[in-house]
Amino acid sequence: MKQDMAGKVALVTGAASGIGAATAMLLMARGAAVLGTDIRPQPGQFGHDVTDPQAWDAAIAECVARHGRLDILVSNAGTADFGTIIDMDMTRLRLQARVHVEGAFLGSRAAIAQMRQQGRPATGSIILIASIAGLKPIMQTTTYGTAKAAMIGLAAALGQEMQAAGDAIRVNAICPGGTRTAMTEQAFGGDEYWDRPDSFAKLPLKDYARPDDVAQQVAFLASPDAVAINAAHHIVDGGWVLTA
Amino acid sequence: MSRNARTVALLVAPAGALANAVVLRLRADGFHVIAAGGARGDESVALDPRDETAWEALIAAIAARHGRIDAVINAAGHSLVTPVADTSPAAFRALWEANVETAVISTKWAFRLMRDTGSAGSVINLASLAGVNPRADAAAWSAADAAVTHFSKIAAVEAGDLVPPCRVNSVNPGKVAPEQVAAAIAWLASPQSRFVTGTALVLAGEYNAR
Repeated sequence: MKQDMAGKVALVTGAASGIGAATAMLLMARGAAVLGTDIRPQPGQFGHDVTDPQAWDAAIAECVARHGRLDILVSNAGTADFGTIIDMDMTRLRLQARVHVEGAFLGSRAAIAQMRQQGRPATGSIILIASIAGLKPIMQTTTYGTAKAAMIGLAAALGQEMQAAGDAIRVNAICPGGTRTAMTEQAFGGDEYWDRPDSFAKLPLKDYARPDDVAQQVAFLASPDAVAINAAHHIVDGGWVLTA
Repeated sequence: MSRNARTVALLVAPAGALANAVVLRLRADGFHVIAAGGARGDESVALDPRDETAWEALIAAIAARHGRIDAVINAAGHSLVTPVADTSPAAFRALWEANVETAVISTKWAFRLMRDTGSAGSVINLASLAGVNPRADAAAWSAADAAVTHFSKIAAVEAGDLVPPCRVNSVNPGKVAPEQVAAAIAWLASPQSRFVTGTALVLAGEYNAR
């Protein structure tokens, strides 16, 4: 595998499982030093509640202490919540907003501050893991989809702000479609959901995403190949939004 | 029909800096590059991309020689910067033909080549930033490249019914270096993007803050 990220340092949240774990592994395989964080950390990972501003300061400090700097932030930590609005309450809506929107906001702010400390104009790549639920109402996503839509807007706004400030910090969002992880298995079930003929066979690519499919998109956006790509969102869904 | 061990890409583009950058990058990524329409590759063939008889012969030759196709890149279009008040129907038609009709015809024959060789290929249509963001003094160009961008999404849905399913995406660059466009094309041509289809990859570069 090409080592185009040698010398780069990445912080990946939600790295204990799913898309975060696949991303941490792939970035390491391509030469980056990676600090994985999670609210339930695996051995070697940093315990991190992304809704807590002080925990963000601690996570960035840990990353700099271990690896010397920060070049790439992957704001991936998330939590699923699906259901009709009649059954929703403010506690559930606020949890979605806190983890996804506030988590991405706090993480981006802390990462930008660190990247600017490393030199001006600052360089770096920030990648927010949103969802196609933030683009189209594909299922019962009044809380989850609303929070993910805000992340897509945040990436566009921050990317433009960095550009206007003269910094080469790129901010992009990724919108995965159905991706089979521990989180989504908990929400939707096992083989009986993923292999059902009316679930994914109707998508153009007739399949669901594996965590590595999203990790590959992260690695592309973080790599020198994507220096012209900023303030955008990137769909990895096998064509789902086209047919939803 | 023998099957080439190397991945095979077909680039439809006139000669120029962009075509050179794409060929260089795809070769570096391990592709055998067939260049048609003026560009130079491992093989270089003459092609008027509007000529379906020529396309039929070309895909038959590629199927016979290589037995596979991994990526087809259509980069035959061009730009037109003219205020609406000064745009002639003839200029608009010429641009529509160069940008939209070649994308449609290239995609059609790419699908047939992928179907005939059983390849899970990736079609990449080069449009422009003008195709996603309105650009003053470029109404005809913006409209044509918006058509290419949207056509690519419709084609992506149809490509799913090929066996195996194939992918279609557009690349929409602003004023960025040819190497950056080539890197975006290489990503969409690679198996690493295997789950990305029906998207417009926007390379806004320094223009994104506008």
